[in-house]
Amino acid sequence: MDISTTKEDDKTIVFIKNKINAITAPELESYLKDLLEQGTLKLILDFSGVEYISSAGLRSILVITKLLKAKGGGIVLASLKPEVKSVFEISGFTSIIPVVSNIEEAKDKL
Amino acid sequence: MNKELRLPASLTNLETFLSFIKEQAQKCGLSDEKINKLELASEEALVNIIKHAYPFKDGYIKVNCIEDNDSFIVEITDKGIPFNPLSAKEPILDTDIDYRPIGGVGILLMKKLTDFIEYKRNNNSNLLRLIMHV
Repeated sequence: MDISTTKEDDKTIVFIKNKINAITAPELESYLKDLLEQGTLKLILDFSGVEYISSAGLRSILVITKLLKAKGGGIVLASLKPEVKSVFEISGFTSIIPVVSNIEEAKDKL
Repeated sequence: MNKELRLPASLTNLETFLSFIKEQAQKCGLSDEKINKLELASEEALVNIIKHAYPFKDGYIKVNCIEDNDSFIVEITDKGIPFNPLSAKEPILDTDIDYRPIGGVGILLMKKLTDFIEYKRNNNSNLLRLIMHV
């Protein structure tokens, strides 16, 4: 799994390039947990390189969202491909996690 | 067409199962969009079996890909604990994040992404069929 991070002011943008499935989700989750431990409070996940997410991936995103909320931080998901967005919608996640169409909107939202 | 793959129920075999299913679905002429949905539904079904069917982690999963008239069928068989995913309780989706349980959406995705789904218990086996119209 390719994951890269950039920081802009107090916002951390994580670009993910791969499928997020039962095999890769634990790696993504521990990567994001490390960021949180290092003090990240405002997290943007750039989904433009993600063409597939299963419930294992949704579970990891939910875990991170709950951890951030407990710390008083926030998360925004940006640039979801239609097939990935529909998985979030079917699962009812779009009502609990903000989803926007691009990084600029995500920065405004946080 | 009826192609079969039987491997130990282990996460290390997940990609092999999914590649097999995608390859057969492609040969059957399923659209890329439907193949994507079928891969996701199959992952959810397989991961459920891998995680819960065999308490001693010593079982097998058999996957058959069947072309039947205008349908492509993924038939997943295990000899683990009896479990009918179609009778599992659906997660409550409209709760606040604090009350939203972690997990529980795999079966929902499986049902929503396939055209038809059926479960049978026979010969001490769980048999789940994920069906897509070509």
